[in-house]
Amino acid sequence: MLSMLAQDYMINALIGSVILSITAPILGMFVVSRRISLIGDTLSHFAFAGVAIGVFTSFFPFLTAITFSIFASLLLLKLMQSNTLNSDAVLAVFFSSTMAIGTVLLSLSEQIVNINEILFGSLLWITRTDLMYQGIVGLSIIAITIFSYNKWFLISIDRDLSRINNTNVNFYDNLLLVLTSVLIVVSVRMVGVLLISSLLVLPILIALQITNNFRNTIFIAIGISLFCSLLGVTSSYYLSTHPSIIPPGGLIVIILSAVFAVILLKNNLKLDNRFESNF
Amino acid sequence: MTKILELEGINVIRDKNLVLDNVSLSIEDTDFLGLLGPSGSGKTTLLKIICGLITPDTGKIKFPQRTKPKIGYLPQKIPFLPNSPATVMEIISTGFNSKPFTDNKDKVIAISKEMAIDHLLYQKITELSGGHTQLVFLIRALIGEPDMIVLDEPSSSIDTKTQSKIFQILTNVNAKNIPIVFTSHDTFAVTNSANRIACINKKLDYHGSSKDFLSNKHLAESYGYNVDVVSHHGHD
Repeated sequence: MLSMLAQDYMINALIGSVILSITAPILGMFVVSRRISLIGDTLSHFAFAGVAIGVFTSFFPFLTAITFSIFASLLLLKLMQSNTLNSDAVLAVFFSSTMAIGTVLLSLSEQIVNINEILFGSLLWITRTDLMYQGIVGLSIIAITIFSYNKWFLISIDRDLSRINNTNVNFYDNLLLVLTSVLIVVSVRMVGVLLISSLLVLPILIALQITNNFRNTIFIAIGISLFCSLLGVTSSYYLSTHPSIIPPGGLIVIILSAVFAVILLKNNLKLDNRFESNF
Repeated sequence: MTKILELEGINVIRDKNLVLDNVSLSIEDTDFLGLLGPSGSGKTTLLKIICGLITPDTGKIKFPQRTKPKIGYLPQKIPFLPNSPATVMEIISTGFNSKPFTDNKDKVIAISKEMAIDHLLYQKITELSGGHTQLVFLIRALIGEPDMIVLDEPSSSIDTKTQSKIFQILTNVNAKNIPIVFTSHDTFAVTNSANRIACINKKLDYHGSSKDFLSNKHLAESYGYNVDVVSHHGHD
């Protein structure tokens, strides 16, 4: 354990995973309860296209990713709210088209890019600057959630009740999506485009199986996320054999999925037993 | 008597169909207004216009007191996420529309005791029966001290004993000059509780006191056939 903590990159990885484990479930709770769990995947594809735009134009990929993700997520929400198309159809269109834009731009780029790093992340190579961005975004998410909690909670139950309470529902929807987009952009380097949405959704789905109220679901999900992330990063350090490195993001998602499967199985067995004892 | 809200010549068209046809109606602070009409007659649309959830295609909504009243609203149906973890306490607390960190627990417990659902406060809303869920949202509509209460079928999933209790509570609230507007398919509940009645079938067929209404002519006009008002067992 001490040898791991003697490495600077491991300290960065552990700090990064702690910040992500605290912030992702906070937004994830409102995303899941709004029945838009798949939106995380689409937003992560926006980040991919945004990075590709930056690489192609040789302009800061981080800035292009943030800007593209914010504008694309606002457009996505506008289309989802209109009655022109079903929400899932809008998500499907954006999901594939932004991935296509990213792939084409990266192939046209003169720079050599490690596409695996964007897709699967590299928690072990994150820098102090990445941690600073993550920290700023994380603190902003916590502060905004404290002041928006009641609004987001009521919107997740019924939009009409929120409107009658004089809540600007569109503003709070946009706020949730913009914050999620920004969190995804600053976290993509750590866990990658393909895995980031799991960290938004899986801890919440696990917590929903064992929780007794809405607020506690968030705290339980943060606890689960912290445990699985730290275990994933530590396992990655000890299981990787030089020169091949097991991506910590992948291990974190495997551990989260295993915990989810075990709890779901246990709860279903309980239900079956209760059902049988009634006969 | 003070006018709280006035609707003038309201028309609503959806998919080329006329949902509301030139409806004019005013609501005063003493009104306990029951909206009657067959299914698809535009009752819910009219309630949503009163709440500001639907903008009419033509017509005017006026607030004679110059300020939009704070409305306590009970929707007809709440579509819950199957595994929503929200508890009854959390749902009722949203009725306050208060700032973060405000503790309204004591007030929630007090009104829940009055409605005999205090034992359900820490249960998940998805584990409740249809009647109890409706009761929770009714309490939520009442708890924020609204200027006006709008209820879409408040008694549809509730037993007659709880129904009488709800209407008694609503009568007490109305006595404080808080207008109540509600829809129901239970003609007896409407005529028994409301002091004014509006009968609607796209057009407003009747708007007046419940005493005058009881000549069945108005009901027959709206429903298209003769309707008799018969007392339920359990009502006075």
